[in-house]
Amino acid sequence: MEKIVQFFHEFIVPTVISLGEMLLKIMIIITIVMVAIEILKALKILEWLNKRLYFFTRFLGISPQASFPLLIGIVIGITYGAGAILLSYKNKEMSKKDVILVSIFLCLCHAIFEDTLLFTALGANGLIIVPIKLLVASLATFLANYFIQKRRLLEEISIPEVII
Amino acid sequence: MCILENSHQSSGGCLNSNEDNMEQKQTFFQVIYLGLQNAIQVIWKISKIIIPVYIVVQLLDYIHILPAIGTFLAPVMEAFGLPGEAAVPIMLSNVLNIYAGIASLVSLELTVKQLTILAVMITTSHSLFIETSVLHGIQVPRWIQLCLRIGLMIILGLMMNVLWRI
Repeated sequence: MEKIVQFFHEFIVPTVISLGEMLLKIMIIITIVMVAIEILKALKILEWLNKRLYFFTRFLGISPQASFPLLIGIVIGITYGAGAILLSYKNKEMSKKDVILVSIFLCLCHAIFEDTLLFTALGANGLIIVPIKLLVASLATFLANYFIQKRRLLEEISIPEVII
Repeated sequence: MCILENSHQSSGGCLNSNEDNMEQKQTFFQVIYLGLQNAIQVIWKISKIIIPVYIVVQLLDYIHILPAIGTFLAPVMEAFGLPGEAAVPIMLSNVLNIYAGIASLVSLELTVKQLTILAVMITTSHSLFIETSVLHGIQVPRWIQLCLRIGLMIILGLMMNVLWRI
């Protein structure tokens, strides 16, 4: 009996309290993020932002038509992003290269506000996390674009040699 | 455009476009309501994972299995500037999802630097089973995704540990 009381005091009470605290934090963050996303959708802020970011996507080698699925994936999440990619690929707005580049960016960096806020609530430094993630994902996409183009150039060069 | 369609088909197209315009003008409260509805769905889905994981991890800590894992993995995690126990959130968030990782992270005592490194590592590579199959659905090969995410997670962890000297 004593052991049960001790277990109750040492384990169950602190666990339930800290679990409740953590759940409350997560609930508040997710509610804020979800409402903010709906407001972004309703006010069409992402479309507005999309028009101003074309120099950035051009630097990554992504065509302007493909930058909107990218933006959706970065802000809202990978499932929405993949849906948007699929939709615009079916409408033939995106080339195969665009799909691969956007996917590489998104698999490294998606739902950036939600995930970062969750860690910031525990005490991490969000101002360091977001730039690092964006920078690394951009760099990976840029390199992928570079290699795709290089390979294409090599193919073009190698064709005459085969003919000769 | 609408008039042209009408000449060929019934007036359905024209009516539909009108309805679409009506739908786009949502009131402020409808937008908030939609957001809250989504939030409740996500919270319900998450808490089904968070609560069991949290209780199991706390129990492991209570019966001294977590510290044992920590001392076992300490040499590996030292390269990232993390304590050995930090391997548990990384594994859980890679296999299950990011929320399971967060649930197991609360019981550890970490500094801001360690938390930030861990956050970058986990947000780079998490819930691999689900997210690779989502992107596999749009014809991106799995091995590219896995190499990129796991490789960059390790590289970023090492680099941040080396470069962060404050």
